[in-house]
Amino acid sequence: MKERLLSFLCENQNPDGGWGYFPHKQSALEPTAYVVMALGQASGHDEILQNAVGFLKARQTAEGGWPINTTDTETAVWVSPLVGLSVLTTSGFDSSCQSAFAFVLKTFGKMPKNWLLHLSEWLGYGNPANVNTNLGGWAWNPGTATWVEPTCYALLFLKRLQGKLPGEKVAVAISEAEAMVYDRTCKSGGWNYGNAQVLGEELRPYPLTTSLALIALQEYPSRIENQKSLAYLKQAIVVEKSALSLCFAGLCLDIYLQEWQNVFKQLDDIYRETQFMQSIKTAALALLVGQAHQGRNILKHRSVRT
Amino acid sequence: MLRRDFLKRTTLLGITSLTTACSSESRWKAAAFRKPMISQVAILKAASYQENLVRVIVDGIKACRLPVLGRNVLLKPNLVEYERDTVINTHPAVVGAAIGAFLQLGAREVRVGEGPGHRRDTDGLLVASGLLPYFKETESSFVDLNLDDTKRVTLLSNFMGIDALYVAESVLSADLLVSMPKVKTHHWAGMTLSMKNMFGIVPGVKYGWPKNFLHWHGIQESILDINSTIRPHFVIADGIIGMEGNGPIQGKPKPCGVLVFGDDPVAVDSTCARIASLNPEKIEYLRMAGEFLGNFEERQIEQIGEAISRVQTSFEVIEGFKHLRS
Repeated sequence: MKERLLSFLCENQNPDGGWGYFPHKQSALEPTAYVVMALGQASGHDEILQNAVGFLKARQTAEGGWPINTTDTETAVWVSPLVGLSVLTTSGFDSSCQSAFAFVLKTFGKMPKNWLLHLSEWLGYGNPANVNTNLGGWAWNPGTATWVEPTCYALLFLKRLQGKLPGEKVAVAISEAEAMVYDRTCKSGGWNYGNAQVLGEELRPYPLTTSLALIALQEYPSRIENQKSLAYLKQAIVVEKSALSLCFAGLCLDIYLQEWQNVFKQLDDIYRETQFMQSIKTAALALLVGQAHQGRNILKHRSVRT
Repeated sequence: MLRRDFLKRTTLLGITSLTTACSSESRWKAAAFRKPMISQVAILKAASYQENLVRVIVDGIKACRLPVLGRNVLLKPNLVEYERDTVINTHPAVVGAAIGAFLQLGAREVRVGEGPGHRRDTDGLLVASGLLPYFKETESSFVDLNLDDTKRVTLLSNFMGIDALYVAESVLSADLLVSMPKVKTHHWAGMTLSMKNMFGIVPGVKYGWPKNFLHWHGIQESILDINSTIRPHFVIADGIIGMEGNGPIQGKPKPCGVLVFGDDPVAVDSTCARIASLNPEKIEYLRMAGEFLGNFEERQIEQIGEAISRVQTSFEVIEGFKHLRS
């Protein structure tokens, strides 16, 4: 599978150096970031990788972040730390990362309140999702609510930079964002997009966001939320049909030193059946899973806090 | 108590504010919209998903005289979550039958597109929901509208307070966009039908999961702006088994035994609400859409096939939407 995935990615690089989510689609920053991470740990693809990193750096906006694709004119809050992480892991800490770091830190904030939230609080009902709105995190779009996935990307990037950049502000942002992610944990463990409940009804977790959150919170393996979420994840992936979710689950279970040999088999079966539906992002992540299996998990923090 | 009070008060306040704010035509340019004098809506019986649904859908399309020959069709079902024994999604048998029906009627190409609002693992949803085999069977294909190429589109009305939205490119390039909702109650909007189903054409890659940007600008307002700008050309609503109560995810199955067809989304959605014994005049986005996007009054809708009274059934609604029954 590894060789076929590598060929698939190399054959489908766009002339601008990036990759779309699927072949023949416009280059987008998220799939390109994952491909760069995967090729950065593979050997023999120097020219392709160089063009891809060139694509990423050329698309960095004056604000320091990145748009979602080549037609988007705005800097995206959510994708920027992910691209920053990709550049950091392949090119090292350079001026591009420094600008990205500044952008990510600038976009950290508390959940803004629209009229509905103000009204709800005024009536003494709290908010419909019962989340702590005083804890900061990251949103998908500026000026909207904070969510689990974008917050996890920012945490991964900032934690990787810790020690390279001084400042209490970073530590405060990381600490508050971690608390925000924990605040969104589902009752039975795990995470969904970011509401453990809505209007008093418990919502169920998803394997993909659970994996991402556990990866972002990997320094706290003994915390009860991590333990419960890990238990949920191990149970959920047995019947998981999504290759994308299985990839994140594999990367997560590897970090937590759990048995994940079955994930390989499931991925292999799905690949035979669907070729991952031609998804560039899934192909890149599957390569990252293979690299993790060889002891090179790119999402594993090298220095951990206790 | 908290939930009931909250819903009641916020719903009433939302309705009041939308009505007050939208009473003038300043929210849309009258010249940009032309409602038909009369809209046709076909209600055809289908007792179960095991029936010959291709035949029923061909009949529905023909009854509405929809030109299909040589056209590039994009079917937009409602695919949200998968949970066993629930009725969250447009049933895959209906989607599969629609692919077959459009091909049988001479469509050049039929694709299925959806951008699920909560989940990024669309690949898993396609497998778990049972939709995937239909693509192989019909040589059709699926487009993940969350990850499609994007295009900025200027809005033709102004309810959300923004100028433009990014939309999936495959939606814009289709000759025939068919909204295929599940007939469901919705705990924020009252009901989710063909117009609310259009949230799925707004790409998650731009607006996130969930598409909180739309909620932030108001669900009813977003429904109106999206549909005024990208109006589905045709609707096939899956009411064979609908969802009542706490929809769109946690509600209960409600058998209705119908598929509802039409080229006016406002008319089809109003008809579905009437079938569910809910008053479309009380669903604010429908009432507002009736002012400029389509027909929602019964006297402006020509019913084909079954009469509403013959298929009408009473949908349960949560406390905050009890007023829809009046």
